[in-house]
Amino acid sequence: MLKPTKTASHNFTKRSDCGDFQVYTHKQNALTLIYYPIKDTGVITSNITYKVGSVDERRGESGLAHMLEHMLFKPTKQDIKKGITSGSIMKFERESGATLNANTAYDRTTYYLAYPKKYLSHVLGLEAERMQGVMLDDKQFLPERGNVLSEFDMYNGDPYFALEVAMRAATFQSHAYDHEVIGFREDIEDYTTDKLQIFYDMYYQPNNATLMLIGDLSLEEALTQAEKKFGAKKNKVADIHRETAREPAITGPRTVTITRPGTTNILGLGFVYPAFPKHDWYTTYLAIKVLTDGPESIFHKKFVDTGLVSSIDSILFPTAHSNVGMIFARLADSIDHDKIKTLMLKERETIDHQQVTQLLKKEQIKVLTDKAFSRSTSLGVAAELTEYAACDALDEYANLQKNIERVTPTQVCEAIQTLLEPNTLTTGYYRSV
Amino acid sequence: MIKTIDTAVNLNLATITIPQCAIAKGLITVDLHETNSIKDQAVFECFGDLLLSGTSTLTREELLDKLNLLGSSIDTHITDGVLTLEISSTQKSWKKTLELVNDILTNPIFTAKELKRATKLAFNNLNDEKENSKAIALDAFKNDFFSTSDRRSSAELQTVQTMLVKLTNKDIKEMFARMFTRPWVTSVTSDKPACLAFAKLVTKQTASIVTDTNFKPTSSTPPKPQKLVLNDIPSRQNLDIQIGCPIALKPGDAEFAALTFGVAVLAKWGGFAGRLMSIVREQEGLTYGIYGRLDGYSKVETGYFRIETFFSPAQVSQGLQSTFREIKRIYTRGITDAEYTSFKIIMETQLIMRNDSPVASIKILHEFNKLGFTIDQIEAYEAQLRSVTKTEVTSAIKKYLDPKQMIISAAGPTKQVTKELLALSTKL
Repeated sequence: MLKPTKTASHNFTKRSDCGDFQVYTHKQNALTLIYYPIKDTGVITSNITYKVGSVDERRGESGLAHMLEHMLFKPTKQDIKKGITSGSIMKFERESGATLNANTAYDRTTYYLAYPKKYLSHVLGLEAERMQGVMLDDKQFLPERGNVLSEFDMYNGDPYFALEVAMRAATFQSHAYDHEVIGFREDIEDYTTDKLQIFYDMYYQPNNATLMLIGDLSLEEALTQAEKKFGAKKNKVADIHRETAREPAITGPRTVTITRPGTTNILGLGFVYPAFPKHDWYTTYLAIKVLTDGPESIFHKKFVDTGLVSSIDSILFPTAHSNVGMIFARLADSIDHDKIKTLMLKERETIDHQQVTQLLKKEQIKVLTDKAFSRSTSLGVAAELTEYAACDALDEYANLQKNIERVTPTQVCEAIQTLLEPNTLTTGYYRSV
Repeated sequence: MIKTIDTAVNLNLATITIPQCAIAKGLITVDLHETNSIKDQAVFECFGDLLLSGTSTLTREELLDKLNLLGSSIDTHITDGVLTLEISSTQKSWKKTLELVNDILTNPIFTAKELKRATKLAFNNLNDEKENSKAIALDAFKNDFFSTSDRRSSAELQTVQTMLVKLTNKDIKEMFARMFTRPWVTSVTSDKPACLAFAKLVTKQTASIVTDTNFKPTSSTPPKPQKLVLNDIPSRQNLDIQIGCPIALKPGDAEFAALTFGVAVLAKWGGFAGRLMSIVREQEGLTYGIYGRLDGYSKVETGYFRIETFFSPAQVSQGLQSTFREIKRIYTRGITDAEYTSFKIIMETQLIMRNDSPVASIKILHEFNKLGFTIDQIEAYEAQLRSVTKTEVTSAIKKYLDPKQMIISAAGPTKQVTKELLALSTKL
């Protein structure tokens, strides 16, 4: 049992020590605080992650979490009082040059700023203020909805995105992972500020948030500044609504087709994988890398090097619930979708344990090297921690090496058999006409 | 953190030494541009891949196997005729990674089998590019004012594909030989032993370079630009847009810092601070992103200014009118006192933010290195950015960002808006 480290200057209690960082919980409002020091850079990244994402949206409100993310850059009630019509977050970015952005995923919404350390107190004040203080009115909302529709069109013009949307909808019948984070255009057009307000009031409160302070600051600064800005924040809702739907078992293959003008032809294979960061998630992650990652991977050698397809890609997100992963093959001229599908499934039948053993070893080293690079910056650390925070698994960040290295070739071979089981696959055809 | 640049002949080695750094990153850049022939453009499409296709002692499979067992990577890319090798590994694997790099640069073997594989792959990739509206808009933009022999001009994708299938190993070997007739630009970051190991490698590799004294970058005779260039790609939802014009400046020129400052005020690349992001996106909701920069210049060549954005077909006229309204406003009225004050701070912040990432730091230093800057010159340039006056910024904008000189390149579903864009372009 770890001893509480409460001092007069703050009300945080140490929850765990994860090696590179420590996790604290606020005694009154249950805000989670992560302190991760990186010395002598002069730079801090602060990140606040709320456990709310597209999984929390109801039918007809797809993309609402993402729309709300956009609105959190708009003026707060305090800004209006002070006459800061552009909103103080945007004003700060425009006056300081800090790096600032946000992103929404299936299970979480994340806001981050990276800045010279002298701005710490100011930034935390802004972050605390927009937790519950943003004005959601039509004056701010309507132009921003235009931007979101523009963003939607940007994605929707991408054949991979269009195929992914269709395959996701075909894979899930009940669970809310059935739609993309940005939502459907029709739903975006129907949003109202009332809908946004209900969502905002439900999910934006301290006990649903993780604040990360990463970079060139002391523990004392982190705790006292977090207390000063967030200590008085209250939780408005006692019982936060969570997705509880259990997806029915898949009992047969599913197929979707997208037809558009152009020259692009893509085959997609969708498979359901376990939640992050279970052991099976890492096994699936490495199995997909063995199949599709880089010129040595099984599918790359079989299909790209032979000129049958121009590229092989895959997606597999770290999500709190079981989700759908996808493998995409962009077909070369005149190559038939089903020919590639048949060949891919044949690879499953003839998977070579020795080849998998060699590839797995390399993928394990590669993943750990990539992490060494991403962990060399405060923004990279924040981006990675975000996924663990969203899945209530912060302790696992420190276990990455162990989690990667304990995956065995036999497990990967079995995972490939499961993922590419023809009876549970969702097949997507993107056809150009 | 210690930064140095050694401008030894043919070496140009920039180093950022970081004690106990867990990672290592090295960059090697060689300018391979000659006349921008179709054959060169075709070779550029597959040369990076072929560099990693095996040596006299290792097949491609063995080479990739060794690299991956180290967890290392060697990425190759060629832009505007400039080859860059980007070498990454953990500090622990760095020495062995460099041994492989040395083998690649010393004992390459370009086999017929690998040529066939690499050209087929490049051919397929070019097919995919035919629907890449963003890249097509940018290529058409540059082709509008650079002659075909200029490095920044691109041939039709189909033309390059036709040449790709005709390439021989002799063409690849000649390109490889060209690497050793040009000065190299090299940069590295890691701890001291790793930096020294990289320095040893590039010193050895460049020792035998005999610079081709006849080589001169192409002096471009620009065509007469069209105001509006359209490429129809019906499968896309939005129109990808490039707006801009050539700028007769190089980074070493006196007005470059002032213009860089002015361009940032108008359309800072990334973030929300630029005027165009504030107005065209935030206030008017016409696009998701709109950014501008000075681009395409080298140590000896002037470049261009470009704004990159996209609009839906329904809003493209309004979007272009808004964008040009803001260009005209900054052109006629210059920047405000508030913008001058803010962007001074923004520039300073950007200098501090580099320290957060060793990889970002070395990449920025490498860009200066490519331009032939010494550490003193970089510091002088940064001092210039800090001390530039509002009058200098406004004056540079007035001289170089004339909206009447700006051309528009659009790629996407243009057919449905061709008439309105043609009519609009005469008024902008």
